[in-house]
Formats: sequence, C-alpha cells, structure tokens
Amino acid sequence: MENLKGHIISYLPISGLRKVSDFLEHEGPILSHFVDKSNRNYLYYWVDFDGDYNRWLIWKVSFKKLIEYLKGHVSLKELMCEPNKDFIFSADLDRKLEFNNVIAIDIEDLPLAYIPEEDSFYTLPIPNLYLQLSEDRHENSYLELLKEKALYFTLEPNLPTFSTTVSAISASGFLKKISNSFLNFMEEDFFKTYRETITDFSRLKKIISQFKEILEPRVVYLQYSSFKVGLSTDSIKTLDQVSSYKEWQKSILDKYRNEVIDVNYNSEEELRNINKNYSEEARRKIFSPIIEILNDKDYHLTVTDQKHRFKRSFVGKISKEKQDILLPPKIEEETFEKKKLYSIVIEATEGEDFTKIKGKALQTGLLFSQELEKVEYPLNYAISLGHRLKFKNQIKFWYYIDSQNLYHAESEEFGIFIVAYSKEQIIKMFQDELIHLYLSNNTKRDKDSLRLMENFNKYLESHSVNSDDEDFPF
Amino acid sequence: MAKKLKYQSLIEENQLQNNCPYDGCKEARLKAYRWSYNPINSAHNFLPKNIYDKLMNTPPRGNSQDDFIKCSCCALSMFDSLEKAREKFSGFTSRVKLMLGYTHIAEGEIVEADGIISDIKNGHLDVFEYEGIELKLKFQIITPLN
Repeated sequence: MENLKGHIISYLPISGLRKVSDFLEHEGPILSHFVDKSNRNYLYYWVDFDGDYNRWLIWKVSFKKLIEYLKGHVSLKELMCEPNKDFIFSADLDRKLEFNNVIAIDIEDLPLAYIPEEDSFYTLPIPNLYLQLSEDRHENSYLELLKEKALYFTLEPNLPTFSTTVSAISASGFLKKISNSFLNFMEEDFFKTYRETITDFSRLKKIISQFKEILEPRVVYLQYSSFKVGLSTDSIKTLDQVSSYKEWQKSILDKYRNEVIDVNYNSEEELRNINKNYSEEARRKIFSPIIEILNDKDYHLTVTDQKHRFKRSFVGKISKEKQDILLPPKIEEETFEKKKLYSIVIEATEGEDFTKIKGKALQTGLLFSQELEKVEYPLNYAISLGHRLKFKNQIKFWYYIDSQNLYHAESEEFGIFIVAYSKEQIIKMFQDELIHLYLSNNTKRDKDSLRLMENFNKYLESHSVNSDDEDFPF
Repeated sequence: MAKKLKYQSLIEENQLQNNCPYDGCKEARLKAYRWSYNPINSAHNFLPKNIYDKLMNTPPRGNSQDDFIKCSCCALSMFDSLEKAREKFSGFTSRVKLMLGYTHIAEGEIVEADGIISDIKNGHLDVFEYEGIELKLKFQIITPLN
C-alpha cells in the first residue's frame, strides 16, 4: 500500500457512522455514503488494499455537494479536494471491519495515486432515494430540466499564470461567440426544416425571430475554477399558437451538439461534410465563432453533457489550411467604396450655387483638395418631434466617417456621441438628440439641466412647435 | 430433484441460505458479458468474490457488516450488453480500475441448464451456476475493457 504522511490518531473521530448507500460498487462497495449521529454526510472511498486490509479514505461532504455529484455536476475529485475540511481520514479496515492505522491527512499530502481524475464524474442513474431527497429540498425543477439538457463548456487556460482561472474578457467573449453560433444554427435549421411548409417568407422570418428570443442560450450552471458554464435552451415555452414546432425545439440543442460541437475540425473529411450541408454564408455565421473559440490563444475547450456520456476535448489549434476549407478567405468586395472627407477649394462665379457644380465644371474649377479626418458640421436649425429650434449661432458638431463607412457625430458640449449608416441619418439623429435634450431639460432645475440649458441659450434664437416634420435648410 | 448450486456450500458458510439466491432468480437464456482476465482460462476468472478473495488471500472488501452478508458475493457478476459492461467500468477512477484488476470483457451465452439469474438492474445481473457447470469454458474474451 502507499505510504501516508499525516497525523496518526488512535480512532476515527466521528461517532455513530452508519451506511446510507453505495454510490459505486462491484462485488463490494467502492464509494459509499455514510451519515454520523448528527446526520452529517461522509464518503468512504476505496483506495488501496493488501493481504490484511482494505484502505478507505473518509471525509465530510455537504448534502448539496453529494446531490451535485450524483447529478454529474461535480467530480469525485472536486468532492475530495473541496477546501471545506481540515483533514481527510485514512483508515485500514481488516477482515472484521476494525479500524487500523487511522491517519488524518492534509489534502495536499494525499498520495497522487489516491486522487481521482478531473473527469471522475458519476455516470450511473441517480439512486431513487437521492432523487426523492433532492426533490424534497425544493430543487427548481425548471432549472433542473434545463441542466439535464445542457451542454457544459469548460475553458481551461493554456498557461498557468493565473492558476486555473480564465479572464473575464475571455469568458464573456466565449459566451457571446457560442450564443451567436447557436442562434445562427437555429435560424438555419428552422429555415431548412420548414421552408417547404411555410411558404410565406415574411412569416417564416417572423417565427424565426420569435424562436431566437425563446431559444437564446440560458446559463444554467457556473463554476469559476476553470471557467465552466452550462448552456441550455428552453424546450417548454413555445410559440402560443403552434405546437408542431415542439419536437424541433426539443431536439435543436442536441442537433447543434452533433453538427457543430461533436466535430473534429482538423479532419478534412468532416469539414467537407459540413460544406456539403451548409452554404458558405451559413458556415460563416455558425462555424466562424467556433473556429475563433478553438483558436483562442488563452484557453482550450472541453464540452460535455451533464452526465459526461458525451465529451469532446479540443486540443491544439485549427490550422489555416483546415479553416480555409470551411471558411474560404473572403475576396475583398470590389463594390466597397471607402468614404472619406475632403476639403476642396474651387474657382466659381460669384453667387453660384455650389451644390449644383458637377462633373467637368467642378474639375476645371478645382484649385486644390485636402483629405480631412473630421470636420465641424454646422446646424442653423434642429427639427424633430414637431419641435423646431432656430439657432442665432450655429451649433457645430464633429462629423467624420470611419473605416467601415459609419458616420459619427460628436459634441462634447451637449454630450452627444452617435453613429449612423448615412449622412442623412446622422444629421437627423443629431437633431433628434438636440431636441430631446432641450425638451427634457428646459423645465428642470437640477445642476446638470441648468448647465445644459446655459449651453443651449448661447445658440438658441427661438423654439417653436410645428405640426409637420418637414426639413429645414441648414 | 432440485438442481444444486455450485456454490451452495459458500452460501451456507455465510449463513445466507434464507435469502440467497434472491427471490425472483430464474433459469434463462441470454447473451451475457463479464469483466475478465486474459486469457479466459485464468484461474482467477469466473469466481464469486468470496472465493476470489480466499484464493488471493485478500480481505473481503466492505465498510459495513451488511457488505459481508451479501448474496451477490456468492454469484458471478455479469451484464446483459457489452455497452453496459463498458459503461459501468468506465465510471470508475483509474485507481479503482487498477485495483479491481479486470482487463477484458468476455462474452458467452447462458442457457437454462447453466444456472439461475437475478433480475436485471441497469444492465447488471448475478448468475448462480449449477453444480458441474464451468461457465468460463463457454465464454470468450472479445475486447479489452478500456
């Protein structure tokens, strides 16, 4: 037997122990649940034997943890190494079940051979007795149902710099990516399944949108030492009027597991199979987040079901060559025209309307131009929600276009920072914001409102209410 | 005359005759699987736990007195499918697998003349051989356990 380092004691300092059940057994007990006279729970775990003794490790455990173990949520190793106790006891039981060589061992002094593996999860059906007891303790049955169906994602850091923890940014990034991948998969699968039966495209889109809300992955389990999260989807709530989607809804998470998670992303054959079943656009939506997760430099991923009957560990990164099979490199779209701002100086006839100078006239009149990062855009009026603000002095805001052709309007003075897809939209939005700020602050007397109204008063000539929302010239 | 069990004396030695074999045990015909050692004719194969412990001179494994009056220790543990046989073993830690010592799965057909079997629970059953039966001769090693 293994040599033990610990404090030799003459007897096991727990009285009135009686066995409740064997969790693991084969031709004799292997892991047994005991309670003491005060109904505190203990585990006996068989770890060694010789010609005279069987050696058992004995330690205290909470009932909640026992149930979590039986439900496959925590491993035997976690139960054993949980820092809720000073010692684990070792006892050598002889043929008459008398205790010999009782030793109190610090957890860190346990022989490595006695420590169960990380994946030492309980995989058998939960004994009825414990099912009943856990129900008696008012477990949330809805949550339990989701937990049973959930996929459990464990992120373990690639470097031990911060022990087994992963950064909050990594964890949140992971959740966002996996949720997006799942929701896109759900959309694709619903579309494929029902496109023949729901021929009204707008109705199909509407149902998909409703399901996106219902099936948004729910967090049903969290563990922080190695980030582990259980994600599940609701299979109970469904669209009111239609129950024919129920079976589809029930199976969607399993389908996602089979088609997206249980994949060897380094196998060319499996990737080509995916290509057969999904368009490039669908692959980008569903599989691209997965590739990003698997290639994250900070962590590696293991996915299991609740009982660990399903397990896939992703070790190593996905090569560029394999990625390109699944997600061919995008050819830059030629139609993408990058918008920029220019200041131009032109020669023109006095009184000429500059907005009408076009083509050749512009070319011949152009003296020089200069690219600008941003410009101050002036407003003489703001109009929105049936209100008009006329300014005696122009209100100016910073106006620029970013690398994605998104338009930005920013004003430190009024605390407005907005983004839009077009020039017209951004100017309209800026006016909306100004009017909204004016209307919501002009009757208030708090410090911030008064300061804001002081700013308005520097510019404002008049405020009027208008019945229609026509545009004013700037 | 009622057929005699191969390990009837073991049952009596452990004073289990009042409830061993269990109620409900019956003759049956089925394909069964047992954790084994390789080769199949190893002296350690197909022995009830009590006999095995005596052969190996190891103390019977138990942590309460009830463990020593278990009828199952006088029977052969088997499974009704290869999947169940694998599944149960895979639920043990490496340490336990090592101590149990089994390395392979043997498959064979049990017929009515071989003995009686208990109710099947979660794929597991106990087989009580009749006197004169040597089940291991009917079984073959089919696959490693891991």
